[in-house]
Amino acid sequence: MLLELQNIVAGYGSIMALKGISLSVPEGSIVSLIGANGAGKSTTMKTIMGLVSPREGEIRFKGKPLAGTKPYQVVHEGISLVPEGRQILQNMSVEENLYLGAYQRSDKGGIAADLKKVYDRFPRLEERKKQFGGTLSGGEQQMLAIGRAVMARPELLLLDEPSMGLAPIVVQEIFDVIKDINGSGTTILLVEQNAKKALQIADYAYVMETGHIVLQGKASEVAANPQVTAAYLGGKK
Amino acid sequence: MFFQQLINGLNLGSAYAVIAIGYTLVFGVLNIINMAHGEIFMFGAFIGLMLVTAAGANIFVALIGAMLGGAVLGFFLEYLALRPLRRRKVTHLAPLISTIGVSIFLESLALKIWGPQTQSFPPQFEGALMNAGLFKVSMIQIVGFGTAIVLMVLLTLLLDKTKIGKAVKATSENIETAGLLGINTSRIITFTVMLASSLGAAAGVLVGLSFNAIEPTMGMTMGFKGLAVLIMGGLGNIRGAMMGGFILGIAEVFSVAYGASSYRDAVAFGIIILILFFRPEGLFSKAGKGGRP
Repeated sequence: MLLELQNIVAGYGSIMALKGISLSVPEGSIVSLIGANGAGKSTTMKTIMGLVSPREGEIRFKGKPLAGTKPYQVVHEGISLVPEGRQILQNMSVEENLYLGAYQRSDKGGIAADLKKVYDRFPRLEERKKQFGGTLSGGEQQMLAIGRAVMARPELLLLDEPSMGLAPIVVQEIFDVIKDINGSGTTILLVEQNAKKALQIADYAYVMETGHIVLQGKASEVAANPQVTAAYLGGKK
Repeated sequence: MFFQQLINGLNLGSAYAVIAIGYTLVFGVLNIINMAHGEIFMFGAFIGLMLVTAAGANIFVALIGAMLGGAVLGFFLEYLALRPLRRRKVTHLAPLISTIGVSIFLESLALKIWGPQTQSFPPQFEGALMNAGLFKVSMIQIVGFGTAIVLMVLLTLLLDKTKIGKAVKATSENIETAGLLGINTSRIITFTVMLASSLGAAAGVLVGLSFNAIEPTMGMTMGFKGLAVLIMGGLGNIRGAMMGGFILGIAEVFSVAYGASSYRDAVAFGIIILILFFRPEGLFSKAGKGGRP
């Protein structure tokens, strides 16, 4: 397993958003974590990144314990997060945002090559490379957030609600890109409210409800589960 | 007369600008006002003075020495007064109060070391005065103004062109995002406080040179002026702090020159109140962005 969470309890103050969750992400796979608002999906991501410290439980990445490390150390281990709401640096240019994604790397040639790859994948970012991040549209900001995370050359890429607030055509583009990134060897853990799309591209899926994992399995099996169909896929099959 | 006063105002304003940039940098990464900045400015002036009088150093060597001393003070300020509070998730106001504590400590320490009397640099560049017809410029003014401008240019280059500078900007804009990008934000905060303090100390030497009056209480007045400039320029906006410094300097000098010498501070701060009345977010901040650099 590339990433393993065992009985993680975590939260904010006295409120525990995660009440003992366990999940594993095999190397090379796409794993989706679906569930309603407030189920604890984003907290799971923040706990992996070290933004929230777990009260109990263990996080292991490549067999090594990860709990208690700071975000920059987690990035150093090989995990990058595309955060919820994109968190683009508004007052810095598109290109500066991308270069900051490669902050911990010092291989100039490799960084330049990866920058070119991002521009090839998202030509609109190259057109706007001198503009401030804050001037981009929502879809462009999402592309920038993904490009920026990829610039770190992570082994595991976490994506938190990448389709939120985007037009359907852009959503499709984003999911194509996620598949594409996975195809080039990066393992993906995806948190989504768009359960249908998330289950389509995933190998494995976990369903979360109020801080617990209530269902898990191969994505196709989870998608076929009647409860999931009723609750997350619009009821019709 | 007019041009002469403009030159004097630019000279004073350049020192204010360097002080205000120090406040701005710290405000950017920590969202607090560093109340000890004025006292670090005062220490810079004394360190420069000691290097010139006791060690016989050249004024530029003294300036660099003061900046190094300021950086060391900044390191301890961050390590002892700010970092422990950050670890413990206390209220937002706690670090503000702890910097006030540091400022009182530094002022008392300076009184103990150097005594309460006003001291001054031995005359530098004596008699060198350039006459350009409309106005006269002394060598001290040229050196002071020139040094301030060089410092501002170097700082701008550092922030815009270097990796660590970009990390400072990213940390200022959103510390959580900066961490997620792999930036060790704690180290960036230490670096920023040291950088800001070294600029404050440099301003101390410049002001000490221009006004020939160095005393342990000079930090307080200067600190408040830097603070006013910080707010006038738009909290956390570096260009705003530069421009604000010049506006305050020129306003002060003109109010003295045109007959209101005893109202000099009142006129200067009156202008700031007027500016804030019409632009409460500060002169140079982009509305709606919280005035970040």
